[in-house]
Amino acid sequence: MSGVSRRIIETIEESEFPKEIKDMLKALLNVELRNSHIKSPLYGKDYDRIIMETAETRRRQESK
Amino acid sequence: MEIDYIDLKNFRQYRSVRIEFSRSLSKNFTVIQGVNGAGKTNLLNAITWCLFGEEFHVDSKYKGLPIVNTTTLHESTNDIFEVKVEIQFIENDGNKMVVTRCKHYKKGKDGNLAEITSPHSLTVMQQRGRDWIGPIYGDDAQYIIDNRIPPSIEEYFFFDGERMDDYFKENTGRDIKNAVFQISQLDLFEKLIEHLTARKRELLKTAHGLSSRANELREYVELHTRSLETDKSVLEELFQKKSEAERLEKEFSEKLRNSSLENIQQLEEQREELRKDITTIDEDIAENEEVRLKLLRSNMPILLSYGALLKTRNLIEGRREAGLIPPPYRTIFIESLLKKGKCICGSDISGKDEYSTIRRKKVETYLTESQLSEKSNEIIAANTLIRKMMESVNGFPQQIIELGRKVKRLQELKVEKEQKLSKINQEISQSNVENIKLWEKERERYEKEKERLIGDIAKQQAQIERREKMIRAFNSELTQELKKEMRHKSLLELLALCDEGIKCACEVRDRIMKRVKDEIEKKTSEQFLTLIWKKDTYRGVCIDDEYNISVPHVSGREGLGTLSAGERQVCALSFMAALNSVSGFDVPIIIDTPLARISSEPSQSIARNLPNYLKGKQVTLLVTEKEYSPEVKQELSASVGKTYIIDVIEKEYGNLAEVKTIQ
Repeated sequence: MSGVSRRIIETIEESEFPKEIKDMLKALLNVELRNSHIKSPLYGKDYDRIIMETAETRRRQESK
Repeated sequence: MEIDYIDLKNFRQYRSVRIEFSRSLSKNFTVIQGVNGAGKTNLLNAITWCLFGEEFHVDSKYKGLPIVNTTTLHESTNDIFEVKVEIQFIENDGNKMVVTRCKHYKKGKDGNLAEITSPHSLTVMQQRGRDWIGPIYGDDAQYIIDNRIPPSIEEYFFFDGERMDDYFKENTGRDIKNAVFQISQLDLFEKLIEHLTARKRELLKTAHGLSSRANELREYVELHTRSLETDKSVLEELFQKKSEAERLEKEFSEKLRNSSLENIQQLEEQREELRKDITTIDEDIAENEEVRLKLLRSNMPILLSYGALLKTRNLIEGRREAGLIPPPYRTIFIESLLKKGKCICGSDISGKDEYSTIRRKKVETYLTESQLSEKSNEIIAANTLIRKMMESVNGFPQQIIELGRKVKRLQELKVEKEQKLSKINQEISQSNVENIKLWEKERERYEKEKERLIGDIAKQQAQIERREKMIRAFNSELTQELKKEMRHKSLLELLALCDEGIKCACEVRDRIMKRVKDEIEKKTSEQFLTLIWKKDTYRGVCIDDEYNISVPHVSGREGLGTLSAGERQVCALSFMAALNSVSGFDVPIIIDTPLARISSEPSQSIARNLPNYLKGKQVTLLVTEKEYSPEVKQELSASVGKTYIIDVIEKEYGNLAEVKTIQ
């Protein structure tokens, strides 16, 4: 499995969610795909980082 | 991912064999030909043994026999034997992965073989550019393999054609749905949703200075989320138990059907027919009940107000007959007459004489009454509508009586069939043959167990639904509570992001799931109708949201149960080809005896169409000479890159298989 399937990426792209949510979903799916090769993955740090980054992007957009 | 080669050493009839597979884009087929018993299925078994440590397609004649090549076992002077299967895969990025399973067996004094266990029996080597990672052993190696080819969906890539016609009998919709989920990577969404929910809980745990109510709500959410996890694992267990009970029920039914006693075979067949009939009757009853409900729903408002409607209609018609409803005329017309100084009859009323004055006043009264006159239009329209409404329910009593009678007739038929079924059950259970009695007892036990589990599953599902509803309510109240204070602003932002992420992930997952299902259904149906020889008999293949498969007959009746073994095989082949092409899951396909139960002409059609259905996939066909007829060979020639023949060499202690290249 080289990456998240094209169908999944295309469906996320064509949806009407805000861009930062689309990016967050893609990043989280990549974490899950990477972790699927590990028996007991530690996902917490990756998730927290991605959620914080999305929150930051959203704050920046709102302040514009 | 493609197979580059497979090396077999001392595995069943293969003493030392290497097979290289075709990896060309246009010639993506490898054909391995061999007579029955040559070792085709054992090649499939060698692959599953190497990858998962088990022979998933083992024939009953090999069950219990040692895996070690019998000739080696008898000719070798050594008392330790090595069995090894090595497969080299080439990944899409060109990197190689070598999986090796190697087991050693020691011959005891009694001649029996005992396995010498080793944590290093399974190794994986992975290439990353110029470097190699590994050897990776044991559980870690198994984890790498399971992630590339999950064992639960192995049968969707490594098919046993002989058993393919039983495919839909053995796999429930739920099994197929789970496999589609995994093949289409939708399981990533499940993990994502689970992990976002867990992060949300963690975020809440770290929140300080919450009000007492918020604290209380946080604890409720935590408690119920933990209970929900338990509820879900209980449900999963129940599903597994139900599948197992179903499998065992079928196994004992099969034993009875294949028993040596003719009357038991007949009774079992009759029972199977009766069960099918009862299912069809149940479906018919449900369909008629649905029609009855729809009829009631659409007619009930009119029926309930029938008296009022009748009274209104009589009132309107009575007034009209009495001339109490003014004729319809328009204000604008009266105004124009007065302006022109004309009466309705056309005489002049513009003068000041007595006649004109009286007439003009009369016309002026029409002007004040005109509003009422306009209402008369509405009254007439309403009357027509009332009449139509009342007429629309004229046929209702007859229709509802007819439907009631139909349902009653079906229920009586069902009782009749159930009585016959219970008589057969009794007859089989009272058989004089001990084995029959025992098998029937076991079958009945598992049938009851299955029924009980269906009930338990429904209860558990209802409980999960209730708990999810509660968690949503607590979460929503908690958010409201947090909103009361500004200091929780950033926490609220993060929680909202988690919620939004979960919601969007669910939406994308459901959308993909629906698309995948629709595409698989469309392709399966198209392929089935192309390949099937009785083209005008079936409408196609339908797959519902739970992946239950049906093949409606042109008459509308369900036809899956009446398909011949060959037709079922075509249906399964069409479904698997559709599943592989739609999902885009990257695993080579190996089909053992794909055309065994299919006659000559349909075989050619399958051979002609299969390369199109499995475009871009590495496909290996394990065929008999009869299957690989000159016509089939001709149809496949453009796609076949490598052809092998398995030569059987008869030896004193068992056959040996050698694989030779033809092309």
